Amino acid sequence: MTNRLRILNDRGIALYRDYLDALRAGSERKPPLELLDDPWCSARVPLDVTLEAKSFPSKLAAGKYLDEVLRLLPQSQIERQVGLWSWLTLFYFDEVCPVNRYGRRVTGPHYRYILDTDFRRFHRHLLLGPWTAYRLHGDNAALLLYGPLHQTNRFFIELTARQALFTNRGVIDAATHLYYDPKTGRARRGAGSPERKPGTLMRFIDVVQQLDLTHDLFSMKGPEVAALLPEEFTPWRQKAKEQRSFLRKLFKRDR
Amino acid sequence: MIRRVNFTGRRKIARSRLHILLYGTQEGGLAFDAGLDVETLQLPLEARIYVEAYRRTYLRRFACGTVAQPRMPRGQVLDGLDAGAHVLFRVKIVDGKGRILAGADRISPRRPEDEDAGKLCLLPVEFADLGSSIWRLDLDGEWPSLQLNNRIDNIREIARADEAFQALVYPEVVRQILTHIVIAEDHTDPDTDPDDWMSLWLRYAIGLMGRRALPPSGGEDQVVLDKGRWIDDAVEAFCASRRLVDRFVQSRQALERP
Repeated sequence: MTNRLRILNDRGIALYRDYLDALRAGSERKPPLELLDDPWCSARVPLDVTLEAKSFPSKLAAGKYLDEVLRLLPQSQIERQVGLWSWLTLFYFDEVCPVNRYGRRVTGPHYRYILDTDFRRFHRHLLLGPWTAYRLHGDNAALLLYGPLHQTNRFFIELTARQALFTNRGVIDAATHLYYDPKTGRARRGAGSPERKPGTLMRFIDVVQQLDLTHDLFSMKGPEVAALLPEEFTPWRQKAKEQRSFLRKLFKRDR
Repeated sequence: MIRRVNFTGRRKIARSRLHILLYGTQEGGLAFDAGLDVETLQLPLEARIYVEAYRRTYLRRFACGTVAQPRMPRGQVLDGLDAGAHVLFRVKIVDGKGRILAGADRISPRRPEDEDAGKLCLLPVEFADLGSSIWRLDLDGEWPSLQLNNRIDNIREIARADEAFQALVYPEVVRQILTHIVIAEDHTDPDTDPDDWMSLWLRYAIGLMGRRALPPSGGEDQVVLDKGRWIDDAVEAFCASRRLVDRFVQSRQALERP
């Protein structure tokens, strides 16, 4: 198997799609890694990009790594390149579709592996999504990108579905400030409720969409945006404050 | 009908005060010039001006000085975008506490070719890999766009000049856009927000029909039926204004001629 980045062509994508269909139908075939360097199924990219076959502890780590290795390729040319992102998920197939404890690979919808350029499914691609989030927000994308690569969390789904929020630095910083627990490396318990409970993610989205009309949230830091939120967010602000003072004390003690 | 409440008294910057010209660079990228008339807006002199260019997850932000001393971009390159990309702009004028005092959003820039004709582009065209489809209407973004499959040779020229393509595709595009505006969004008053793309499209449709016949508002069964008829009339007026049947027949006859 090559570790030089290539692009699957139509034939390669069709065969990859057939494999995903077979997996869904219960097949236990191995991933068709031979497509990766088969000249009938893939083509070289103009620049020489070498990838490391590795496992990623989280989506954040994957986004960071891809941002580093793809940096030389122009964003506008790779962002919607279906063959490139499909090649990448096949290269990292053990990461995006790992074998579970029953010895089976459980696949999700095709758009998680083969890029679908429809905006509703675009960011749900398991590698393009983390790459985009990291490129936009760096380590502040921790809330969107916690957890293993093959799982997508609710914060990612809800916030990337709203372009104006997803691209807004202040909004993502505020969500991370309120809901991300750096101690556990995950979201705080109860923050991502799918219901509109006071102070939780869905209410955050409702309120921030209103604030975005009246305030230049992009230029603000997370705590500044959080301070604009109404009373129902006080418990989360309090948790974030406690967390910061805890980290500050820890930092002082270590010094 | 869309109604918005303006609690903070922010002002809307009318499109007539804004001038954004987008053009291709020699390197195959994009650059823009921006002009903004702030003098008569009566805003605090120290308020800061920002211009943002955006497209899907692409966002570039430019600090453009203050109301007292604006420094609007000239020849500002938008790195990482192809010359054909459809970019929108927003302008914000912000006080020291981050409150927006005045703004304008979803500004579709003028291109040099529009500049000569004094026109505003209602339907930008983009080229993308659409798999087995020839075209697709993208209504998910901030502004509708017609996507054409870049796997097809000369698709740009076909869309521009092929009579059959125009006769068969564009009426359906108009129908889908008006259905989205009038039925899905129930946006039926073009004066609600005169600069919004939906209002611009409604005004375009009303202009084609040659009478100020607004579509009915509401979601009841009978109203939706009436909206459907209004859309049929608008599409018919579009086809008539472009003589699509005649041009289609003539192009077929030209093909069949030995």
